[in-house]
Formats: sequence, C-alpha cells, structure tokens
Amino acid sequence: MGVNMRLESLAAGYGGRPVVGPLTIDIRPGEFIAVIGSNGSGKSSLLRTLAGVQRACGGRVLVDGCDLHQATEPARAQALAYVDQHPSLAIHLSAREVMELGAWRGGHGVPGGISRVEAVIDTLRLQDLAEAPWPELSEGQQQRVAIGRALVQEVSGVLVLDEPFASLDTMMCVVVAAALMERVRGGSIVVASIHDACLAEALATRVLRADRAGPGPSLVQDLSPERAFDPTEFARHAGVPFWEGVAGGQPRCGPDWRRAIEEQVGSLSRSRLQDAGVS
Amino acid sequence: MPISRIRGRSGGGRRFAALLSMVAFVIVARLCVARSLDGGLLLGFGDAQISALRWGAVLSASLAGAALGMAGLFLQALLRNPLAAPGILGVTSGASLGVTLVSIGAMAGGGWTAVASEAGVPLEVVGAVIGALLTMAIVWGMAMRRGGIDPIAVILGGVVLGALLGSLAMGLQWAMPPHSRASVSLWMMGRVPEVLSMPVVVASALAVVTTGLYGWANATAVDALATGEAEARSLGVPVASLRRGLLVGAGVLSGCAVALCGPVAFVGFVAPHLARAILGPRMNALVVGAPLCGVIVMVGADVARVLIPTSQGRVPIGVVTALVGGVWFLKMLGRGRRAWA
Repeated sequence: MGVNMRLESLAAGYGGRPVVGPLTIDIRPGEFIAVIGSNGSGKSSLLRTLAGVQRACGGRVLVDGCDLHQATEPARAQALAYVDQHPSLAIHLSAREVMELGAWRGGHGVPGGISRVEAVIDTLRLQDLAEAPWPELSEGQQQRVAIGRALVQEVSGVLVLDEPFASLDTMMCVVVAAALMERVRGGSIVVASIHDACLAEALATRVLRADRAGPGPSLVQDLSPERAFDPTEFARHAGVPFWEGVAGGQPRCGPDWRRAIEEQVGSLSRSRLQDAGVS
Repeated sequence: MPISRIRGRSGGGRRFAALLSMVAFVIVARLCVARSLDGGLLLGFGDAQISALRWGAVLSASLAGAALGMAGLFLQALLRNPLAAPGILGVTSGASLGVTLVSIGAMAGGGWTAVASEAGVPLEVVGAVIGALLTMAIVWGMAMRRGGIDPIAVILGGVVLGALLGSLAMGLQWAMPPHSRASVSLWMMGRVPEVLSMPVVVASALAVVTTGLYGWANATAVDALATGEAEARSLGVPVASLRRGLLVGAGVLSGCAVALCGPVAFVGFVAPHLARAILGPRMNALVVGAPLCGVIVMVGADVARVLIPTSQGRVPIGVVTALVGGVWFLKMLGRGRRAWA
C-alpha cells in the first residue's frame, strides 16, 4: 500500500532553458528524498517541476502512472501537495482557514475533511495560533501553517516541500520532522529540499544532490545517505577544506537529530492511541 | 466539499445586517437632503419629479459604486496586492480614453453612432470596456514580466500608465470644440447623472450580477489563489482560467462604472478594504460585501457633496472620493509592507 513516483528524464528551468537535470529515478512508497545542493543549483526549480506546478523543460513526472503535467488541477491536487519556500504575503485568512483550503483540494474534498484539520493542528502544535490572522503570524509560524495545509491535503500521496525547516526553531524542526516521518511510514512519499545537513541526514532515505558544474544545467546525483553524508565526501563536495583537514569532516549530527525525531514520533503515536482509547 | 464554517468570525449575520443598514442610511440621506438655489440646506423627499431625479442619482451612484467595489476586489485578488484598484492601476483612465475616442468618433461621423444608439447599444460602455480591458492587459503584462513579485513596482507602473492615458484623453479633449470640451472635462472629474440612459444601466447591472455570480462560484478558489501561484496550482486551482475570469471581470466592471459616472477615484480601492474590515477576509462574503461597500462610498460621497457649501453648485464627486480614498491609501502605504501585504 502506498504511492509510486517516477521521474523520466525530467529537466527543470525557465523559458525552455534547463537549469537542472535531466533526471530519471523511481521513488517507492515510504521514501523520504532530501534534495541538497549549493544556493542557485536549481533545487527550487526541480521541486516546482516535479510537483507539476512549473512547466518542465523536458521529461515527465508520473505519480501512480498519472502524468502530473498533463493532469487536471484537481487530479494533481489529489496526487500531490506542494509548499513553497516563501510563505505568501497576500493571505488575509486565519491559520485554520488556510489549512481548511487543504481539505477543499480543488473542490474534490479530502475524506475526513475538517477533522483532519483538527488532527494536524494538534500534530504541529498550532492550537494557540489557529484563529490568528495570517499577517499576524511570524514567518516560521506561517511556514508551519503552510506545511499543515499540505498535511491536510495529502492522503497517501506525495508531499513536495521547498526548505520546510528554513525558518523553524529547533523544537519546531523536530515537531515538523516527526509529522513528515509519520507520513512516510504510512506509505507516503516526501521530497524536500533541506539546507541543514544534519536534518537531511536524519530524515533522508535517499539524497538527490544538485551539482552546479560549469555553465550548463546542474547535474543531479542520486545518492544513499551514507554516501552523501560521509564526512570526507561531504567536506570534499562542500568545498570547505577546514572540515576535511581539521575536524575530519562535518560532525555527524544526523543520528542525534534522528533520536530526537524518533522520540517525537513515538509520543505522537502514543497520544493517538490514547485518543483512540478514550473515544 | 465546500468549507462550511466561518470560524472565529462570530456574528456574521449581524455584521451583514449592519452593512445593509449603512446602505439604507446613505440612500435615505441622498433622497431627503438637498440644497436650495440660495444655498440653504433642505430636508424632505420633495415632489414626484424631484424624487425621480434623486432616485436616478441613487441608481447611477449605486451601480457605479458596486461595479467599482467588485472591480477592486477582483483586481486585489488577481494581483495578490491590497493596494490594487482600477483607478490606481490606470484602468479607469484607459476607460475614459475609450469614451473620449467614442465621443470624437460620434462627432466626426455621426451616422454609425445614430444606428448604434437606435439599436440600443450603449457606445460609451463599449468604448470604456475596450479601453479598460486593453489597460488591464498592459498592467497584467507588466506584473507578469516582474514575476508578480514586487507589488510596489506593479502599482508604480499602473500609476504612470494611468497618467499617460489620462494625458492622452486630455489632449484629445483639448482638440474638441469648446461646448463639448466643457461637458467632457466635467465628466472626467466624476459625475452622478440623475437622468439615466437605459442601455447603460442595463449593461452595468448585468455586469455586476454576472461577475458577482462568477466570484461566488469561484470563492474558495480565489481564497486559495492568495497562497501564491505554485501553491494554488497544487491545491487544485485552475490558475490560468481563474485569472482570465478575474481580469475580464475587472475590466468590464471598470468600463461600466466609467461610462456611468466618469473616472471616479479610489472607490474601487476603499470598498474591498471596508468590506474586509466588516465581514472578514473570505471571498464568499466579500463578493457581496465589496459591491455594497462601493454603494455606501459612492452614494455617501454624493451626499457629502450636497453638504459641502459652495457658491457654484456641488463639487464633483471625484474630488470627494479622492480626498477620502487618497488619505486611506497613503495611510496603508505608510503602515509598511508587512501590515498591508
């Protein structure tokens, strides 16, 4: 049970000029794909294109056999939810109303609808912010609400998140990471760009690394987390000789993050069991 | 599944009732307040003939106000910019250029215009709508070339475009024979006709009702559009067709309002904000609230100009709305981007 995704020689860019790709991979249910790479290597373009919201320069994206770029908007909204890097400034709704848009899903509602909103509010600890108007939220809070909206929208499908942890504090990183981890274990697919190597290492089952080499489009390498975050490899790739020579590479903080996130996943499932027991 | 509940906005019905009573108040005020020829303030509904004229003024101001309110609402949703409005983006200037060109055409070769008016085609509406739509297309092109990212740049571009088109219209009016020049330049300041041309009224009413139904049917999609182009797409909003609908709707509405009352400034800006303050941010409420607030602003401004004492009749309505709306606009601009965006 779960969703399958396939990218077929997908190239992303603007005005027919590719900035990243081509890329061909199969993604199985339950995978967490971390997209890493230096600034300007085309991570955001790649994510928008594989979410089907930006025209591809070539290739296809298939989610359970359905071509995202040919699909109607409501069909795409059912297969995949996308969250942008920068929260919109033009929203006047309250946090709860924004998350209810996820339950609307292009007019083809989510099964469970409004009760999913309540569950996500609890999971992301948004209880105190739910009625606050969007413009009064901080950027990190807006980001959490936007991710919440996607969690409401996505039902055993694909979540594509552009830098979901960028403006979150440590505690909220753990809370959001645990919510994503829970989805992945239920058979969903998460594809997220993560600039924090520790978080990426803690979460990823696979890593896509965008390399800007020369004037052409960035090349994307499909790596195992062990390979991508091997201290020597990481330091060499990041081009920071300090880590390589002095520290022997980037300190392996991934496992520590991993423990914190697992603990939060455990407490989430315990509280769900409790709720189920009560009702 | 429609989103059924409006949470955290208790008393929706009460707020709506308050809005309706404000509408009733300004209309009654317009019907019973007047000035005598010697400048004294008169209270009372007057005889049948006078009452008919006042009802005519209420009808034209209401239609233009509703059209401008809805046009502003559509533009703010389309550009995801709370400072957007038909007057600010030059759309009403484009519409007045269209009307000016039509009236010059009518003077130059009267034959075809006579045929058109006999057939019940309101030529000034056609000219205004075409002018407004062309301006909308230019504004949209400017917004898209900048990726829609910088709201100030779009507003600035619209203001300059409006000045440009306004100057063109003024140049054409200068070349007109003196007697028509006077009436056209009075119209450019904004007017509230008391005797109405039926085809213009019908066209405007149709535009307000049709766009209102369109906005109502797409209310949640418009709410979702505010999350940004990419996210709205991923939420299932048919972004391209929705934008087309909002763009055409705003153009037609602005054109109708200008054909009725001239390029009255800032009503389209103030009305959606007033509606948001009273009814909250949801499109399904605003699509009714913004036109009603447009009625309040427009008819209210018409009452205000009766109350302002002058030695030569009433001041043009555009002067009143610009004073109120302009100050509001500057206040919002001064509060900074985070507050208004």
